[in-house]
Amino acid sequence: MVFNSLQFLLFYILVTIGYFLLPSRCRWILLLGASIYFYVAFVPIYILILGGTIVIDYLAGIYIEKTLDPKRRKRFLILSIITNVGILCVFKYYNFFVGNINELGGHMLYLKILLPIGLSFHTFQAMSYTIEVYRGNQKAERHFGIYAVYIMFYPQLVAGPIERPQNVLHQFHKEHRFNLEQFKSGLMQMAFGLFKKVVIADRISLLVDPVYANPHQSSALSLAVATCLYSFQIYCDFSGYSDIGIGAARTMGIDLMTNFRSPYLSRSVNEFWTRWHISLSTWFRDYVYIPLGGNRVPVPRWFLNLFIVFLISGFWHGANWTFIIWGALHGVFLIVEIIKNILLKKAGYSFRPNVLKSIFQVIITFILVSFAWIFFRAADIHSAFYITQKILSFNLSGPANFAIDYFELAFIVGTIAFLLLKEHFFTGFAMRNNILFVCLFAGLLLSCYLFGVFNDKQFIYFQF
Amino acid sequence: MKRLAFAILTITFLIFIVSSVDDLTKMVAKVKYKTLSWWGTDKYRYGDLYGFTYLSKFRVDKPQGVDNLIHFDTIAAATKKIDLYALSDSYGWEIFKHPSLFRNVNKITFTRLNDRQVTPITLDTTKKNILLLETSERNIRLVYEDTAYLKHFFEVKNTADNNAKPAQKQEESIRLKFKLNDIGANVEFNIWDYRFLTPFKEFKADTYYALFGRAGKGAYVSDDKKYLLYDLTIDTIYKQSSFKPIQKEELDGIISTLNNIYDLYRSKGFDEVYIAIIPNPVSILYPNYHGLVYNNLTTLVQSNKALKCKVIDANMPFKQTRQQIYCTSDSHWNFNGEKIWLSVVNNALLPFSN
Repeated sequence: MVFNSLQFLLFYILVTIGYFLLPSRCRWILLLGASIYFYVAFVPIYILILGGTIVIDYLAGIYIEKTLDPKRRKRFLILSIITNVGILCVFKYYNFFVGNINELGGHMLYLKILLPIGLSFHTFQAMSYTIEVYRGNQKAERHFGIYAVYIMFYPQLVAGPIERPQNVLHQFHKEHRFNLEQFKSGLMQMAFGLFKKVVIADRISLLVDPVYANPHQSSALSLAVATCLYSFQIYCDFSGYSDIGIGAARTMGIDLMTNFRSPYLSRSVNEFWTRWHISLSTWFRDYVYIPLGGNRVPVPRWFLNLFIVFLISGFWHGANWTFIIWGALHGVFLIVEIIKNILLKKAGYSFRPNVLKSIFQVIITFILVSFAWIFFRAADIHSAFYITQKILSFNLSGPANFAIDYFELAFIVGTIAFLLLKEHFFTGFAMRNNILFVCLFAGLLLSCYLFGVFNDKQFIYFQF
Repeated sequence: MKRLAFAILTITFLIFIVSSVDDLTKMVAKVKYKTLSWWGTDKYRYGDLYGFTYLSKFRVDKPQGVDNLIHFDTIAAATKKIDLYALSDSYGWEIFKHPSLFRNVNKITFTRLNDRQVTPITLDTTKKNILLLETSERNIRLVYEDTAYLKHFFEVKNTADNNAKPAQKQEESIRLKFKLNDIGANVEFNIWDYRFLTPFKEFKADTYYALFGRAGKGAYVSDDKKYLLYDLTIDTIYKQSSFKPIQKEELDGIISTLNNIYDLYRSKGFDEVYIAIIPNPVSILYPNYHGLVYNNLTTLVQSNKALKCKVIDANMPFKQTRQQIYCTSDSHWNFNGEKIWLSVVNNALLPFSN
């Protein structure tokens, strides 16, 4: 069930109204039932895998807390991590490894399996729970139902935000009374998320998909434009999903973590990663980068740590060399940026805020990030290199042949400008004035209806 | 406030349950399709392609029924010599309900291709038993690869086996099977498919078309703006497309399947097996649509020397006529198209009239 479907509309109304009509102590049952339904609506059989990991992590959490022997505590933690990573490896990476080994002359058999939807997200969320219990930052959850809701909570089940137990678990124990302001804010965020998805992202895909499907038939200009627009497509698609999920949770009084903060207004790649997919980047920071030593190590090791984190981050996205290169590129960008800053500092260059300089930095960052997206979007590694080569030839003499006309292109640019302005000046979704709220909410929905592209297109991050 | 919440919850729950059970939605559909008031369905009101796009310009009345076609009812049924059996897609469903439209045909038994329907039959050896494979061009490449189904769309029984119940009878009971996914179409039908909503849909469709020059999903507007064209018959990603090139191996496969059908049903007692392909509208009207190259599938099948089935060729008469033969807002033919096709079929059946 995708968020931009009528099926979800019915589902959301049922769950949200049912939630507030039920007594507080029974709400977890509704949330768990609804989340199970939400998940099995994709591929029913995979609920068994999810259920299995929930049981293991739930028990691991309790045993980690109960056990005083540090070695045994560690064993339970390792068991939990191996279970989660093992499932991820089998379902997501096994065929990738087999493919590569076979390329090198091996003869291993492929598994005929489909990737369970949202696997990378809920395994990471589950791991964050056992790690936090191990570190003593979170008490082990004794209520199995509530723990299951923490993992399966439908607004963030299949594409995040990847939550931390400290942020969310306690909220499922609380009694949430209906709060009109919170409800309005949640609805507005959902409407805006829908707008991003159906009006901007899916319209951009009308241009990007044909160009990327036939890079050999597309001119350098077409590829460059499609790549720039893809940056916004993936942003609107993913942050649109997050907005709908976070908004849906907020209408029930549950606050999920922010996942995006206008990433394309970043002035550096480093800043970009504090604004893009925040729940994942902070996950890697907390559970991979810092345990590796972070920046409190010699400089070469620091760079290696950064590179490893981004390499894993790329691999997390998908079992394909294109994603690994995408991650590696970001690692390289970040390291070069740090070296540049160190050199400038040594040279005595002072950073004074300046509007023009900021705009220039934003543009450079956008170009670097968009360049990396080529590898993320391309069908395979050969296409990615071909597209890169063609764009970098700077041969812009060929015609820009798009599947949409210039008016539609202008419409896309207009909606992107609207998005950037909105996100820069109005970051929140709260609205105290009811009339203004109704007008804006209705206006957003009407825009989605009139200008939205409804073509059953899945959210891009569902594949991860 | 609580009462309102309960009311919304109840209504939503009912819609959700009805949408999740196909047979319940079908029950609702039966009522909605018969209803002409504001809460009746508007999906196929002005043709299937109108129902995809809701462009007000294409809100034209659906094609007339078969009443005004030529009916050969002057000969008493007993003297008619042909029993016609047809494997039919949506083009023929209405026509094959009326044996009187066919010269010298005593009765017609047809089985619905799109539903993969299996129909038990008993051949009357005192009549000429003709099997007609009626298929639109868009279905050929899909249908004639499903060889398992094609072996038994008519289950030929001996007269002694007459006790066998028709397959349709079993389908009438309601199965309360709860579906978890793919209920989007049902939900849409139950909350969005009402005649009172037509103006909103048309407003959206017209605005969208005016701004972006595109109809809704499922159809294209022809360049001369006269027709809505089914996207499956154009986009080359689909096998139904008139422009998706066909390789020799695939064509040979289709011919081989048709020949197998011919041999099989001839051996079961049929006197002749005909294939009648109805060309896609775009193949006749716009064979060079947006610079695409027509794959010529109909001709390639019909003129294939290895083909054993007799051919009823509607391609040429359709190309030659100056009449409008296809609906403007539906993926099927209109009254004129039906008339031409019937005359071609009746001519082909002439040898069996004596």
